[in-house]
Amino acid sequence: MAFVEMSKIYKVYPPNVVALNGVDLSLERGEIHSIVGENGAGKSTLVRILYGMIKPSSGEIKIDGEKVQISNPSEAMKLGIGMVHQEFMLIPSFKVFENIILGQERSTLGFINRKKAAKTVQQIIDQYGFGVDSNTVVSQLSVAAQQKVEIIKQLYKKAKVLILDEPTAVLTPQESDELFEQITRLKGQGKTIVFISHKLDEVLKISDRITVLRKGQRVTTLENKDVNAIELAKMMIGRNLSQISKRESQPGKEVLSIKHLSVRSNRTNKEVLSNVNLSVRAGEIVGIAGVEGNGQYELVQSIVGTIRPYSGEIIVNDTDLTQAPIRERRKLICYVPQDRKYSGLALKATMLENMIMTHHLKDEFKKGLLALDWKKAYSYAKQAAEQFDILYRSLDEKPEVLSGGNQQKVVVAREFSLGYTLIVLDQPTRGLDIASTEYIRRLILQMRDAGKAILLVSADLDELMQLSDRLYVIKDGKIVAHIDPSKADIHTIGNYMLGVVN
Amino acid sequence: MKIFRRVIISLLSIASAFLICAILIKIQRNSPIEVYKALYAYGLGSWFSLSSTLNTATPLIFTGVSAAVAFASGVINLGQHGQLLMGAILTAILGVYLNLPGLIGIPVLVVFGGFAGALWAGVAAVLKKFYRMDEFISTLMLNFIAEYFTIYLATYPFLDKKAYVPATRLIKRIYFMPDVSGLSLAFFVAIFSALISYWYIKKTRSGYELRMMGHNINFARIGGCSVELNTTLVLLLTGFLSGLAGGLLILGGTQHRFMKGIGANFGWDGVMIAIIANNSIIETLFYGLFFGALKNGAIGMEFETAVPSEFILLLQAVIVLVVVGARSAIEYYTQWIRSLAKLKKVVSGND
Amino acid sequence: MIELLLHMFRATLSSATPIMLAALGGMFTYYANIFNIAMEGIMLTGAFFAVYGSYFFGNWFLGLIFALISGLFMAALFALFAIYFRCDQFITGIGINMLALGWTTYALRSTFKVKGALISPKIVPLPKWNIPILDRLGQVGNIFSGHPFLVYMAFASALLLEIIIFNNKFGLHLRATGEDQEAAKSAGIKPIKMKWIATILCGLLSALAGVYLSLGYVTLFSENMSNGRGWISLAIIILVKGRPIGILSLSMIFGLFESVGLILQHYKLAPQFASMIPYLATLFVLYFYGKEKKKLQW
Repeated sequence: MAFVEMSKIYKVYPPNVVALNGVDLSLERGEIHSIVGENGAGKSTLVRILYGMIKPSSGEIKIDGEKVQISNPSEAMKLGIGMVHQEFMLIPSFKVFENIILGQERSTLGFINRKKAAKTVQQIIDQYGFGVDSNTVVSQLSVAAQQKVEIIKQLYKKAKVLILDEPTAVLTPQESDELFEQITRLKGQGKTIVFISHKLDEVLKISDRITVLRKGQRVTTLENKDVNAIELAKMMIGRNLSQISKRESQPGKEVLSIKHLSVRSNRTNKEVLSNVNLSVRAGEIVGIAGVEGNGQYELVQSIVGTIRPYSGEIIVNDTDLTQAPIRERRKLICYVPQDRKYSGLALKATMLENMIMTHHLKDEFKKGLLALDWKKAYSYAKQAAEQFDILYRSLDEKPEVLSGGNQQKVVVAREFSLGYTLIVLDQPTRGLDIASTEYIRRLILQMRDAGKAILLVSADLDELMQLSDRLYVIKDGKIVAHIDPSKADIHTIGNYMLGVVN
Repeated sequence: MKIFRRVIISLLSIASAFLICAILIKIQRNSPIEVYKALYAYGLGSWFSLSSTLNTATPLIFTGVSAAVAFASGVINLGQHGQLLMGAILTAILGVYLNLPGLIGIPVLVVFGGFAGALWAGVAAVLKKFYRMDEFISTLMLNFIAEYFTIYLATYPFLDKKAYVPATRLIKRIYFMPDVSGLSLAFFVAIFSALISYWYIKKTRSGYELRMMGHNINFARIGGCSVELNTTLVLLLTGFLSGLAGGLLILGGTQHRFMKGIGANFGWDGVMIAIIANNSIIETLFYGLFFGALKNGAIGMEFETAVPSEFILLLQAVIVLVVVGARSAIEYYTQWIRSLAKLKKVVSGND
Repeated sequence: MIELLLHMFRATLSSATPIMLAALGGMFTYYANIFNIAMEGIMLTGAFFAVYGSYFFGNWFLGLIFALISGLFMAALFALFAIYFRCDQFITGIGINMLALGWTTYALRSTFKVKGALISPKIVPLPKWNIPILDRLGQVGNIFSGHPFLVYMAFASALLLEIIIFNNKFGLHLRATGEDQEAAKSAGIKPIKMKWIATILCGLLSALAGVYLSLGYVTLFSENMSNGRGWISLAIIILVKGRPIGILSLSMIFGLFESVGLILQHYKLAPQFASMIPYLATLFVLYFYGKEKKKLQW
């Protein structure tokens, strides 16, 4: 009899998005069970249901053959189910031990013995050899350390089933290897591990069994030994992966030049970027690699102008933009921000209004002294939406009803059709399904071949290797390496990202 | 179709608000039917009622549009009350001392009223721009300060010694706003201002930037909108609108002088109207008229029934809560119901 | 002169109390990440119903109970709209404040048949507590002794809450809910429940602030008598980022301003300017805070 048995799980998100369509999943004791599928296939939804974070629309869950209702995470914990979410569930201002005991505090009259709690937590940390100080404030930890805290949290709560949702997405290859060792050790202690990833090599490396999901349905569950990466990929996306081919780059004149750029954080007053020098020429893609939070965001923000550097120069097309307001910069820069909901789109405005942002600064859309030429805006937006294959019903509808891939296409269409020579891309394909990802990557290459200068910041090393002509590695706000990706392998870059070599 | 749906939801919500208040009236052992009948008769029943309703609605349209423009731009100007008072006091004082022919004097006085309002909102704009003070707190505080300041002016330096209550002197008769058989021209100024505001926010480049700021300020900033400048602009513009309300209240109202309590609850009424109208200017116009009818009807209602006119304050608040609650609850639960229907379809499709 | 100073300090404690109580209420919702601006209105209904109970039953305690029930009702209404119906919190807050204003103004007229204010010997005020130890301290003791118990309660709760928020399970859960609702949920906390609790606590404390206004500070009810105190308490909460100790100290500063204004009236300052002082003070405090904040910007 299976340890955990989920059967006929359905989940429909309001108003009508079918995330799971009758999925079955069974877990055995002491196995590493991987769930693979592309973004949007329903992996996270499935395990979040098991952990009680979301209620299924219908379906049942059995543990040791007994039907259970898991309507919130504390019930899941009681059943021994623990989960490490893709986006960490830690309270940034709390200390490590506070985060770990949260929800399971031992207290008298509600008052917590903080010293004792910190000590107990430290014992568990040491017992598993995680090497984290239980008294550190979580926001000061590295991403990898935060992930460890998440895992310790589940161990403290005595989880028998440990769900890891895309744990390697934020790690360097070396850190991933360390994580796999810990996972294997936990398996040895009899824990059941659910491992979610879309990186197939990792999955094949550590799993006992693999469940493949596609578009909210289970394709199959199979033993690891029965399958290879190519077959798995085909099951995941329902067709063969196409290869993106790339021509030699033909770099022209320098478009973006950053000299001695330094930025201080306004909260801590620490340097988050120090003495950064880089250049991007027309007709090339320059990648920025690095563990997240090492200054990439600040670099992009100082180019776009939301952050003022305290020294250095930013020059675009021979114009010094170091002190220029955003409005002036946006007359020279196309920019795809990393978070389309935060700053890429106004989800509740119309498609048309979203499409003409930044374009509205151009003279061609002016009508009279004050008015905007809405007719012209309409015809431009219609044409751009068609050119970039956006699936939409009308320009009056709101982007919130579009799929993630189409939302991102709206951003990309708007920015690429601005037509300026410099294009700054911050995580352009994050969270997208494979088809949209491929589409956008092709577009980026097209833009390069059309002579644009492209700065590409991405957390996805594969993407950087695939697209960039040159690669800078950033670590602690400094550029630590300048690499030709065609001559380097992914582990070397990982070493630079971690600061193992200098 | 969408507009139809919205109208229906609004009408149903307002009907429910009336129903809730009817129960309250009943509890107090009065007859709701009598009360509502009186409200209607004195609000809309005759040309006299109608014209005084339109006059009553005039300041409401201004403060409503002021709030709607501000909220639609993501600027929380809650200072309509203070801005209106500052506009009113300046117009009232100038109306006593300024010597101009009526034809020029009236527009000049009105515009000065607007400027006073804009200036008062400008204080909040300066505090926001240079010291990053949330405008919603600063405009609120400025309301109280304006309240006491204007009363001070009417009590000491500009007191009309012949008046029974603290008030400024009567403005010159040539500055009285002309009317068309009881309907003050101020009403037409209100309609005109509302239409101009509508055009500005819907059609112009600046208006586009403002609306995008209201939707998502980060999106607007990254897209190259001048967020800081626009915020200042919105505060000044909406302050101007509220100031106009104050000026016209002096020239076109019934008192023709500044006295304590002249601002009534117009500021918060405007905020409520904008909220019910979901920041749409055309809807604000309608709800301004609606609130005007209620207020005007209330005077007659108090006369005819045992229910005091303050009842309207309660009714307005209930309307706000019911409309707002219904709007978001209906959206949320229809989506939820649609998801259930979809689930049924998917499950049956699999079997 | 000394007498005046003593009088001023005594008045400071008294003026600080309603602001502090409301701010401590708002602190709960602040930490639960609810943008709650309804303190003003809840305070107003609290003040009205305190007078209502006291007037009709000749008993301040029943006034207190009535006020607490009204606070509970208003807070529940806020929570129903803002949490259950998912309305915009700010708009809901305005709606609640307007409801409070409309309701109390209407009820004053329809129940007591007066306009503007109700002053009556039938309203029984809160009893004043003489603290024996303080009484022995002579004049300085006089500042602190002989206040209604809500004054002592406000100060005691500020200190107690400072401990609870940072060292107690409840405080930990409340802050976790506010900082990251999903994370709190994932840790087994029920965020919706926490938010309801925070709102209700805010309603009760704001209602107490109202009780103090109409049965302690003065013994009457007048239209809109909260007169911006709820907004000032909101400004304080934002300024001190919710810290109860900070609320205590800033409320004292505002109390001081208010009492200075009252005293200056004896020196021929126009009463309108005296009344303006707390609001000007709020702007000034925000100004200094803004200057600090600006230094830290990018």
